Amino acid sequence: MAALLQLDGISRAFPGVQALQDVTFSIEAGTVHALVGENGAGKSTLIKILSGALAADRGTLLLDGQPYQPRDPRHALRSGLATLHQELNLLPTRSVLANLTLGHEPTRYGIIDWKQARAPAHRALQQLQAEYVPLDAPLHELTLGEKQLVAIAKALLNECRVLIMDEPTAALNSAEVEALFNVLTTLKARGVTTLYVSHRLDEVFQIADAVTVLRDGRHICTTPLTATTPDDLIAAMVGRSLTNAFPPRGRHLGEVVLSVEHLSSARAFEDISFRLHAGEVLAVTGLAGSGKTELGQALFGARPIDRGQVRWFDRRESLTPVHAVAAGVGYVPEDRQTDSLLLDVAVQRNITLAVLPRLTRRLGFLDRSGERQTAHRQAEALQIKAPSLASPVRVLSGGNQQKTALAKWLAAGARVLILLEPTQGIDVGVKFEIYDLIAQLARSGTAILLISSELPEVIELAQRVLVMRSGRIVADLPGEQAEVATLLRAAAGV
Amino acid sequence: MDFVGENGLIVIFMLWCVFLSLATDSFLTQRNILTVLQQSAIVSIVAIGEMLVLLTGAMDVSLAAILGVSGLVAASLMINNVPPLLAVAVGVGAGGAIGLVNGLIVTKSKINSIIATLGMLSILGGLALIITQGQTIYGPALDSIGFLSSGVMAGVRAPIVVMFMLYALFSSVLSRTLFGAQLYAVGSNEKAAWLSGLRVDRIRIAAFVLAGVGGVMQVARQGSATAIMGDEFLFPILTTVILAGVSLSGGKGRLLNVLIAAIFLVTITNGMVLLGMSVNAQRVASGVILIAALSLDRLRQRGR
Repeated sequence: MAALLQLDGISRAFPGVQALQDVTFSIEAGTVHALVGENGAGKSTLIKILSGALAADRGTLLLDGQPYQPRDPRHALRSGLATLHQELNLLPTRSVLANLTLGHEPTRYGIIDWKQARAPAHRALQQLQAEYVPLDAPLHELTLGEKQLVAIAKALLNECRVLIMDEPTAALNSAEVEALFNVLTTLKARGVTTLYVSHRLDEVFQIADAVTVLRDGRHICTTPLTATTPDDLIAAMVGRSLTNAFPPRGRHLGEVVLSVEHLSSARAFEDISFRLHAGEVLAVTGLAGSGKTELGQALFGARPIDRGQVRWFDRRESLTPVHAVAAGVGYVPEDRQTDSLLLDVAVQRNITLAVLPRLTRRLGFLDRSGERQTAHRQAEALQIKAPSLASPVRVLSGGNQQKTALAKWLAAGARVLILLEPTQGIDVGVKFEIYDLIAQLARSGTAILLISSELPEVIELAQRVLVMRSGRIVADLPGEQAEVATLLRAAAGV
Repeated sequence: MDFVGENGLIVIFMLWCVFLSLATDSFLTQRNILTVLQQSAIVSIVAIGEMLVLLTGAMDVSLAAILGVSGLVAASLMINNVPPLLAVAVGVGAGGAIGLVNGLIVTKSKINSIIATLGMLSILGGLALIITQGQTIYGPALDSIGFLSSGVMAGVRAPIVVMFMLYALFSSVLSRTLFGAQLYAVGSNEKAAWLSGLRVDRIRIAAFVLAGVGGVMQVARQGSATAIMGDEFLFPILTTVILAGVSLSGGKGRLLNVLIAAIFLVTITNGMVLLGMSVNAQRVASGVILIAALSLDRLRQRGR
């Protein structure tokens, strides 16, 4: 097979970061080629360069043996490279047909001829076995999986030869993933080459022919999937072999820091009672919609309560984030970008945000060197990788953003942490760093309420696991006895 | 190049000043410079308040009217023989109280701040006419605070000194105090600030109150007070902060740019008078210059 796309010495720098350094590899025609690497490895930058959204500083691209230098995304599309971003770039209020036809509408005397547009649009969906998607439905009425098929069909209509997909399965359910993989196989049979960017190694092994690993902006290896193993890939991604061992569970229980009695919140959860102790990791799990997320919000005062009582450290004050923070409670929300971080503000200020009142001297002036030291201490302890602590949090990778969200509460000296899905969307290396941190904090007496759907972490870290279903606690197990099957059965109610 | 990137507005302003110095004889004279600064004083001081409100992600379009009302209150008290200092204090207090009402409406009833303060603008405009019954308030009693406008401190007119002092003060408040840090935090991401234990409502209300306090200088400037004396400032205040690049969605803005923008706006009118343009041509030209300056500044930022 011939190389369809060749990358030679591709480099790109941003202020303070060498995002790509001398990346050289090639992609064979008619294959599914996976691109893996941790957050911050340079995958997104590489996609942007291939799709014409960014220019490389150095290096050359060859497409079918011809020099390929996309000036902008439009040019890339005309050269046959279509990119499917996670957000898909479709027009939500327009019909499926209008979306498929966008950019090459057939016209008669300058008026769009919708009749003539239908046949090719239908054919493109048919090729994906997606002819059931109604051409006249507005796009926003489709499921995410269907929208993705529309985006792929649109790429086919643009006569794309290379389809670049960025984390296409991130928000799909397993049936939709299955359908997508069928489509990829169909495309392959038609000679379309796919560059498949993903976090999920199981999927890579299922669908890809070859894989390229990037780490810290460098090309580590390109190999056929038949010649490698998941462990090898992980080692290549993180640069060391990971034992992936969970830290040992703590045994010690301190005094009660939180008592919840008969707590209810309309349309979210009902009659919840439990206690959390210092030094304990208490996990709450359940399916999406079980009320576990809302429970976490309510305990921090971020959601109204209808009935029942929440007492932090036996205090009797009203429950708001202001009071919770004052009592020593920290809260790491599910969506760190919208709910936890000041994305355009310096890493340093994000770390010190909750402790600023204590860093304030006479007349409201901040102790600036104290602030710097506090931030440095936490950044070092958590090994936050940032160009500098003055850079905006926005430029950090997902894992380092999450570390910053955690550092905020460590800086504030929180004695309790409510963690909502703390490892969601984070690569495996950082994931285990966060597990170690949780265990270490618990050992030193911090109480941890771990609200998570990630069953392995729930089972391995928690001393006690609560399972929620339809807003109620339906199981309460010691961590040692919790097993995936038991938890799943309790969560699903079968 | 980094200097130009960081300080685009200043560079554009300088170029405009260089042009005026070459094109006219009188622009670069001590007298004219002091006139320009004096004319910038009120707008630039009120613009500090507007910037505080904008930093929290809100906007106050009633500031010009607050300026008018607090001036009116002070003036009417003075001509009724209330001691000048007390009258000024009550005027400032009235401005702060109106700001407090604005802040409470915006934070508690969650009305969009532009709509809420637009309502306040109308209420205050009506109240001012009711208080004055359309008459101009003037008299020798107002002369006692004349030093606020015509007094000389260190060889310079008082409003200029006050303007520079307030800018020095707030530049340190914004960059070095807890309150400044909180203003930026609330505007950058209100929800994240709230979930980090900040008293978001209180911080935003404080910005509105401080913004309301800004305006008693006006009564002193003209030695008389009328119901409509704030009106002429409505657009200059908003134009100043927008030209200064203070983000309308909160969390971003540099105080120094606000001062430059306020002075820039005055030099546009001033320069055209010196160039001998007709009043009508001035209106056209000031619009053109404003749009050109803004476009240059935004293009430059995008290029980075």
